[in-house]
Amino acid sequence: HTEEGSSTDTASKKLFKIIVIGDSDVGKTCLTYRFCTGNFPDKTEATIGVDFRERTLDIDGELIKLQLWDTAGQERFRKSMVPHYYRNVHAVVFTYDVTNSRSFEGLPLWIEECERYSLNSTNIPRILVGNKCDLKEQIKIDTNNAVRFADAHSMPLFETSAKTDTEIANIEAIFLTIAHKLKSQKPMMNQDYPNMKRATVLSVDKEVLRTNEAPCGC
Amino acid sequence: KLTMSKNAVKSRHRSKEAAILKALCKVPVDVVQLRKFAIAPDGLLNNDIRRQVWPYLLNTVRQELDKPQNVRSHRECQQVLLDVNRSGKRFPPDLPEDRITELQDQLTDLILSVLTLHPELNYYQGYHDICITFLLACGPDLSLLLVDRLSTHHLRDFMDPTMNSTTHILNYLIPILNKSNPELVEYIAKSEVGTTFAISWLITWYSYVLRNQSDIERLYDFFLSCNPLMPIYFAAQIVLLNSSQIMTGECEMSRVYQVLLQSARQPTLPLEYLISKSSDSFILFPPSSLAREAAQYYKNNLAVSTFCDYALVARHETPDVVLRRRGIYPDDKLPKKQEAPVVSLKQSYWNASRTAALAVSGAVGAVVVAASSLDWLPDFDLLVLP
Repeated sequence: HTEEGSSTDTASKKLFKIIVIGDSDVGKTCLTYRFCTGNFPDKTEATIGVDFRERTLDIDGELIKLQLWDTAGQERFRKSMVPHYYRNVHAVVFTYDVTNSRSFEGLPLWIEECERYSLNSTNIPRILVGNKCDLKEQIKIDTNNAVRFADAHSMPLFETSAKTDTEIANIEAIFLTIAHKLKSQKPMMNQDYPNMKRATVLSVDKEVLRTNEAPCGC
Repeated sequence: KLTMSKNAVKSRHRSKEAAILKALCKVPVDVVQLRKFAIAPDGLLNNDIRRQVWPYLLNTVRQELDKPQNVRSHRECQQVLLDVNRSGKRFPPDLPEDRITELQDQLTDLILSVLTLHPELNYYQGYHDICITFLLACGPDLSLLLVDRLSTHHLRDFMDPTMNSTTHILNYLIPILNKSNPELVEYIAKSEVGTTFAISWLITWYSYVLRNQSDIERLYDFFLSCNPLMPIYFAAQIVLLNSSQIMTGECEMSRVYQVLLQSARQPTLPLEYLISKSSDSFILFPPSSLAREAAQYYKNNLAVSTFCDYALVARHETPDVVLRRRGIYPDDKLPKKQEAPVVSLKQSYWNASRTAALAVSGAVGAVVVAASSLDWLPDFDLLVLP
C-alpha cells in the first residue's frame, strides 16, 4: 500500500478521480481510509469540507493512481461545496449505511445532484456501497431492496464493512472494479463481467462474509 | 536563531501573567490592553487567564443567559449528535471514558442551547469543533455565554441557511495572496483549485486541522481579539509559507489541493510567526481595500462556473450584499444599485446586528489591532522557522 498522498510524480501513471458521496455518518471517510491505508481509523470524526486520499494500484502491469475525494455529508455542504468537486471526476461512489434507512432513502437526491453537476454523466461509472454490514442485528436495509435500487440506476452494489478487518478484500474489490473499468473504459456491467450479473457479484461478497462468520470484535 | 532557555520563557510568562491580572483589576478593566496581550506572542498563556479574559474580548462580562429548555427537541439534534459522537479525537487522550461521555453530553447541550436561543442560526458541521475548544477551556456555563456571543458575531455568516456567504468570505484569500505573491495567485488560478480547500480552516477556526488543544486556544486568543475576517488573513499566511512547495510540480488541481490541504496540518506550523504576519497583512491591506478584488474573483469564478445554481445565487446575493452585512464597506461607498426582495426582508435584522458587530468585534478588534500593533510585534529575524 502506498501512503496517503505520498507520491507526486503523476507523469507515468494513469490518474483517476473518484468522488465518494452519501449522507452524514455512513462511513465515507472510513471506507476511503481503509482502502488507502489498509487500516480503520482509531478515532473517526465528521469530515469538514472535502478531504483527499490516494492510492496507486498495479493493474496488469500498469500503474493506476486512484484519487478519492471524501466529502462532508451534511446537506449544506452537499449544496454549496460538493458541486465544485463533481467537475472532472471519473467515477462516483454512492454510500449508505445499511443500519440507517434515512441514508438509503437519501440516495435519489445524491444521484439527482450528481447527474445535474457532473458533465458527461453517462460515461462516468457509478457504484453503490452499503456500509456497516458488521452490525448484523441492526440492519434495516434488505439486500434485495438495495439490489433493486442499484439495478434501477444501473449500478453494481457492494455490501461491506469498513470496520471489519476481514472485509479488506471486499473493499479492495470495490475499488478494483472501478479501476478496471476506468482503465478499459468499457461499460462496467456487460463487458467487464460478461457472464456475471450484479447479483453474482453480490453473492461473491456474501461468500466472503459467510466464510468469516466469527463475530467482529469491534 | 532564537534559543531562549526554559527559565527565561517561564519568567517572561510570569511577568506577562502579572501584567494581565493587573489590567483585569483596573477600574474600568483595560480591555484594549487585554486585546494586546491576547494578540502578542504566546497569547493569554493558560486557561485560568482565558476564563477571565475571553468574556472581556467578547463583551459578555456580567451578562446572563437563561438556559433554554428542551434543547434536545431541536430540529438539528440528530445531526449534532452524529458529530458529537465522532468528536473523541479532540479530547485529551488521557481522559477516562466516562469523563469524555460527560463532556460530549455537555457539548450537545451547549450547541443545541445556542441554536435554540437563536432560531435564525443554522448548525454546520465544524461548529461543534469550535464549541469543543470553548468547552475544554472554559467549562459548560461560561462557554454558553461565549459561544452564544461568538455565534451571533464572528460566526454569524457561517450559520446562514446556505454557505454562500462562507464561500464569498473565502474569496478574500485571493486578494490577500495577490498583495504578497501575485505569481502564486496566477499559479493557483491556473490549477483551478479554487478556495474551498480552506473551508475547514475558516469555519472551525483551525480546530479541525491543528493537533494540540493548546495551539488552538492560543489561536483563539488572537481571533477573539480581531476582526472576524482575521482567520482568512491567517489562511493566506499559511498558503504563502508553503508557496514554493505549492509551485513545485505539476500545475494540476488535485496535487495543488493536496498540498494546500496538508499545509495547515503540519505539526511544526509556526503559529506565532503566522499570527505576526497575519496582523501585518491586516494592517497593510484592511478588508475594505480588498473588497473590490474579492468581489471580482467571485464574479470571475461565476463566469467559468458550470453550475446553474451558482448563477441563480448570484442574482439574489451579489457580493456587495455580503460585504454590507459584514459592515466593512463604508456607508458612502456602498453601491447604490439592486435591492433584491430577499435582501430587504432581512434588512432590519442586519442593521441591528451590524451595529452590534461593529461595537463588539469590528471597531474594538480591528481598529485596536491597527493602532497599537507595532509596539508588540516581535522581530521577524528572531523567529525560528522550520
